[in-house]
Amino acid sequence: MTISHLSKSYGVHPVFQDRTFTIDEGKINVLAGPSGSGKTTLLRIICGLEQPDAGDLSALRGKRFSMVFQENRLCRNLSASANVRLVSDSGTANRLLVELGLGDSLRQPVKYLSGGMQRRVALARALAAQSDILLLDEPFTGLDDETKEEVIRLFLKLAERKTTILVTHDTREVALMGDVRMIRL
Amino acid sequence: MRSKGKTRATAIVAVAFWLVVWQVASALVNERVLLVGPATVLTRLAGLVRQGEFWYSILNTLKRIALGFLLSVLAGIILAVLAYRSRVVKTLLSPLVKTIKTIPVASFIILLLIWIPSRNLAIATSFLMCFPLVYANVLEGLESTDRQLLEMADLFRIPQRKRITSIYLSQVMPFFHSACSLGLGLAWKSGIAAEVIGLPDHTIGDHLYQAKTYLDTASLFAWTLTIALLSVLCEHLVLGLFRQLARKLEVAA
Repeated sequence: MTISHLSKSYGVHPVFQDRTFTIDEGKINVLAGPSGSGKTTLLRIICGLEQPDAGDLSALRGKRFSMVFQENRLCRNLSASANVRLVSDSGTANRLLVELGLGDSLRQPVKYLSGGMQRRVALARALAAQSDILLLDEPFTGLDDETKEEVIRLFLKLAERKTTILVTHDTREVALMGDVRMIRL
Repeated sequence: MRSKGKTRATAIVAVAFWLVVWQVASALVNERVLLVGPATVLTRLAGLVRQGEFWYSILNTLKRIALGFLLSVLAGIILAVLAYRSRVVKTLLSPLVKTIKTIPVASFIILLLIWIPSRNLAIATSFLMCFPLVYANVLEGLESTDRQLLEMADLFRIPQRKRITSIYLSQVMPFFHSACSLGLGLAWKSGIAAEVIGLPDHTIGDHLYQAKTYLDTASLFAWTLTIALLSVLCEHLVLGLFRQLARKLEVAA
């Protein structure tokens, strides 16, 4: 899957100029690069939340996306289960939440959950949604080391053979992912 | 729990203090036309509640004020949604809402008295007093809806019905809640004022006016106490319903 000749700038500040990216389908693609190199912008362009100045994105046409944003973007007054049910049926939502260790918090409004638990609800929502491409913008931030390892193990099982684009700064996270394609920005 | 009980006890002491001050003041004034004590008022109220006319008047006033308030909620919500979706509607409504907000309630009542029968005056007045509040609050709630949540809903292609119940409702609810809390008090005040000026038969306003005419201060106080109790009761009832709805939204959606 190739996105070619991509250009994007904000005012006079260019983010990409005539860049071409290739994404491996059915694999985890890791976007790596220093802060401000345009990783989040690229994710937003891929899923159509932002328009590029130029570029060929025809390879993405008709694809459905799901995403873990940099922020959790949860409905704070709704329960963990209700948040995931926004994008899936009840059975799938609850099963994923249980697998991610939130079985005791299904009916609890997310505003009462810790940062790490909220992050897992956001991840469950992204995994529950019907999608062709999964976009993850630093999805494991806020999780302690032990939970992070457990969640990554579960994620690898749940998102197996799914086209995934992951933004992370953490080299340990990349190491835990196993066989990935690195895309440097 | 202990602190809640303590707060309630403090409130009871404060109310008791003012009742004593009221009783002492009325004893010092010692003039039934100028100031009657709480005991006399409660005796008069006990007399009133035994009369069918008391309940019939309450029912008449209540249904008019409730209708005015409900219409204002309905119109406020519909027009706020339209204004949120269309800049033209918002621009057109802006001067109208500002005008309604600025005009004194007495001017409205007299103007309305020329246009509509006095029996409908309380409905129209409560409506006009509450509508700008509901409209402005709901619109503010809609406009402050979290853009990031709306973006998330776009990305996940969340259907419109779920967006309304899960995103918009929970964002607008606190604004709507405060509009209703303020609006209910305003509806009672303006509705009663309209009845005192319009004097429709068998209403609380009519009885207030009669009490003033016959210098029946005890009845005046008894009816005023009834209005205050009804206003508080309505507020508790409506806000209680909101709390239940909010609780349902928290776990369901």
